[in-house]
Amino acid sequence: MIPPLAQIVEIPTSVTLVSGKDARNHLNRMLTLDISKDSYLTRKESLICDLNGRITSHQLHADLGDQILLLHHESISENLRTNLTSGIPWNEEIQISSGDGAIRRILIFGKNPENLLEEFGLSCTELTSELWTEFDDSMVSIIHNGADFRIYELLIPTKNYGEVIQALETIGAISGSVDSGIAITSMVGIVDLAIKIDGKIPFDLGLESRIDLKKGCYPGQEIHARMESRGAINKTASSFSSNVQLPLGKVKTTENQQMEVISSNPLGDKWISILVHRKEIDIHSNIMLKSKEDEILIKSV
Amino acid sequence: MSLIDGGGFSLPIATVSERVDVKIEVTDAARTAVKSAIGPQVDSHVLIISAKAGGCSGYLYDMVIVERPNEEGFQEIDVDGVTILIHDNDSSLLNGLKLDFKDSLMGGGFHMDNPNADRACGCGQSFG
Repeated sequence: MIPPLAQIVEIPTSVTLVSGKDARNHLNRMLTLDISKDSYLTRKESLICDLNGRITSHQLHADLGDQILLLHHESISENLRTNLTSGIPWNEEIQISSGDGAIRRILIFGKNPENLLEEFGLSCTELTSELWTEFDDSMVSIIHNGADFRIYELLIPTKNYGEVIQALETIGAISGSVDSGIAITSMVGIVDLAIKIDGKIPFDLGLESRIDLKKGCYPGQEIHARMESRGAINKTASSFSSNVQLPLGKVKTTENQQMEVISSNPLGDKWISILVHRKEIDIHSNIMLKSKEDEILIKSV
Repeated sequence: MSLIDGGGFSLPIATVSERVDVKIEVTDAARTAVKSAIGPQVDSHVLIISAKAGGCSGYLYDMVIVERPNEEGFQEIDVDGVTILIHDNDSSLLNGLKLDFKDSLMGGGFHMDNPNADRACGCGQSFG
């Protein structure tokens, strides 16, 4: 299931560039996280929510100082760009540009991807998930640092993409499918940008780390603060494996507990899925889901 | 060269805002407070009321007293000798606004009653 060396997967990703001297302030007023003190090459995932506290966009930041690159799912591009271009004050300088197709995002994962990356002159032990590290015209970060395997994320300018991929393949990387990339990140509890989560409450997805209730007002903050103060955060999301694909949407266990499948992707001969569920469900026991044909056994991963 | 220098980025996305002729109401208390805040610079300075993205409800009110800006695109409202400017881009969000002032230790200051707002946050500084 986990390649002995490394697998490379391109995850289709849209790109929006926010620039101008007031870009950071403008963006910071909308995000659920505080980016006012972020520095050059900060890597961070943030959310923008609506007034009801539901996610409208989920984006990955590559902070380039006076320019902030946002990577996100293609389906929310229009909504995100409309949000970003509205409410620009008369005395602030902010430009929003589309960079779709300009930058490619790839994941490199396996038991020994360092063997390949170090061929590029990278010192993998110095990489962190909070910062991008530049190499040539590209940037890299580690997003999972487990004993068994690691996942690295690369942003590569499209003009260099073919050359980088060819170089990686020449030294032993194998190309994989988008599904396997989403499955491997799901397996370690990462909700990838490729998973549609708009319309969901961040707390229900276990995304508490993307919410900063101390940063001050942002759209949806009142709802999030109320949920937190009233102890109404009673759901989270967890990763499960199964032998078959789970249908996206609401499902019920054989004990009539409701869960919701937000992603289900194949990895080897298993399917790795992320399900939203009430916190009181014991996810470490075997859980049987009801389905039209048969019952489906899911196991926590 | 860097990640974004390789081309492939669009020109900045342009936005078109609806422009409406703004009418606002300023209460006696607010008028007095604005005049007091501007002080003797009433001939050179103006009050700009604007809306910017953010806040609990989507937009934040902003009020600044500045020297009359050179930029175009403002609508001018004269209130008893005090000039209030509202930018065309904010006109549809702020048309019909009622500006009031409450003189109290808790929750005092300027207050907005905006007919365009479907909701406002508790502190009154944000609307949506």
